[in-house]
Amino acid sequence: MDERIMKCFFATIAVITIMALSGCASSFGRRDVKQSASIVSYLFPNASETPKMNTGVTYLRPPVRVGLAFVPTAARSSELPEAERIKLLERVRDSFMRAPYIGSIEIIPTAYLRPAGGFADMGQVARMFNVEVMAMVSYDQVQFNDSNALSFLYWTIIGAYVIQGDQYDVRTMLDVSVFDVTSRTLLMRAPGTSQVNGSATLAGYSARARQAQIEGYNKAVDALAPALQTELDRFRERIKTEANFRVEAKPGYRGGGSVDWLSFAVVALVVLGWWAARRRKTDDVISGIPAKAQTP
Amino acid sequence: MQTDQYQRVLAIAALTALVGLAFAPEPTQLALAWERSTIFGGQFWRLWTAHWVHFSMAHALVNIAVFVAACTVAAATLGARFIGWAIFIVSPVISIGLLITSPTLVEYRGLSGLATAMTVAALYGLAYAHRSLRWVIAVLAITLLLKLVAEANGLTFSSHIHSLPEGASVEWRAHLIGALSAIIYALSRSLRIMIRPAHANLP
Repeated sequence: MDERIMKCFFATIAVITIMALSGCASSFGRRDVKQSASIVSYLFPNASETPKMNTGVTYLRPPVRVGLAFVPTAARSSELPEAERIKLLERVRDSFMRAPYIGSIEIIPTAYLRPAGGFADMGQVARMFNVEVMAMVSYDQVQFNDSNALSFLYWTIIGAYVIQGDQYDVRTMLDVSVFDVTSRTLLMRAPGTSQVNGSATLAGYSARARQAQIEGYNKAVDALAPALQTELDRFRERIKTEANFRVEAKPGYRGGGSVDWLSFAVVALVVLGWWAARRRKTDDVISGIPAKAQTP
Repeated sequence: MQTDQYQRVLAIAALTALVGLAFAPEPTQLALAWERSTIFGGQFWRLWTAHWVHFSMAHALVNIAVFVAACTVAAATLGARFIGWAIFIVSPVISIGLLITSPTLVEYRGLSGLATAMTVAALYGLAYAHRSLRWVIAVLAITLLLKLVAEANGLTFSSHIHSLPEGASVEWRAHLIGALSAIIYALSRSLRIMIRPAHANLP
């Protein structure tokens, strides 16, 4: 009798434990994670106002000073850390630097920009950092989280540390939009996308997912760099032909070796002197003046 | 082919190339011009070819005329081989000098840096070969030097024969580096001749 009661007791404990662990496993069901920063929300925070068309001429003065920043959003704990943002911006900066008409690029920390600050905020930051053009990096990243068939083994407790029963699919899009601060004109834009898939254990899921998010941004920058280079080259051709762009190079941007009248006169006199000296030497030879007596 | 004929053929070929490039389309000129970012990107030929392209026909023809005149005198007094070596060595010296001394310069074209170097070399050669002209040559050399110093300080003694395109300015550093290169050559040659008079006939 006692033995039967003990067996029932332990069976009940086992059932309760299994149910509890199953409950734990199901309570770890993760929601999809989304991070985004929209350039439109930043520049046109008041969606009811229609943006005005810029019909004027955009003046560009190469070499251009460029400010590079991420579009700011309201602070959230899931957003990309500032240190990672700076690293990504440094990589984007390297792509920009290859263009000959870009003089300098200033990386602007996100803290200097106000969420939904609009063109006024952009202008303020541009004046602060003394830049003429702002390159704003907007992003949209979605992380899909699913469990696979192996996740039922989490109830074994050891399975939570060993079995990779959770999967992540991180899709990232980066977009660089370049604006002339004075005329508020969009000069060019270039996108970069990436997709990172993987799986992780229950215990190690958060760390792997965070790494995947950062990897997603890095791969998006890898895709962005050639697209940006193509757009920079295309822009260089566009400004030569489009009437609404006027290029006024800063002093010292283009140099030419040029001759003035004084140099021309000096060279002319050198040639004349040489010709006269040669002719006198020839005359001396013809008239039989000995070589020693000739003026060297 | 004898050496003289060979040198003459080379000179004619070089002059033809120079004049031909003056008529070349803009993409060709751009592919050969001095551009800071592309040189650092590995397109090192621009260190030499930048001096052979110009912004306009007038820019090219005036520079070529002065360059040929200076080369004629320099070749007659210092030897034709000197011209070849001078162009080969001074071209990248000027280009690299611009990379270092003009950090804001993005694009450069023009032969006048080399032309200035040849003018100074011609003055030296003339002074060495025709000692009766030394005082005249000294005056011309001082005039050229004063012009370079004035350019470096933003002053102009006389107007330019042609105008550069909008946004382009005269790059006086190219003239100065060319002149200094020729001065260094002249001093080293004079020193060599002083030590070994037998080297007087060598370039």
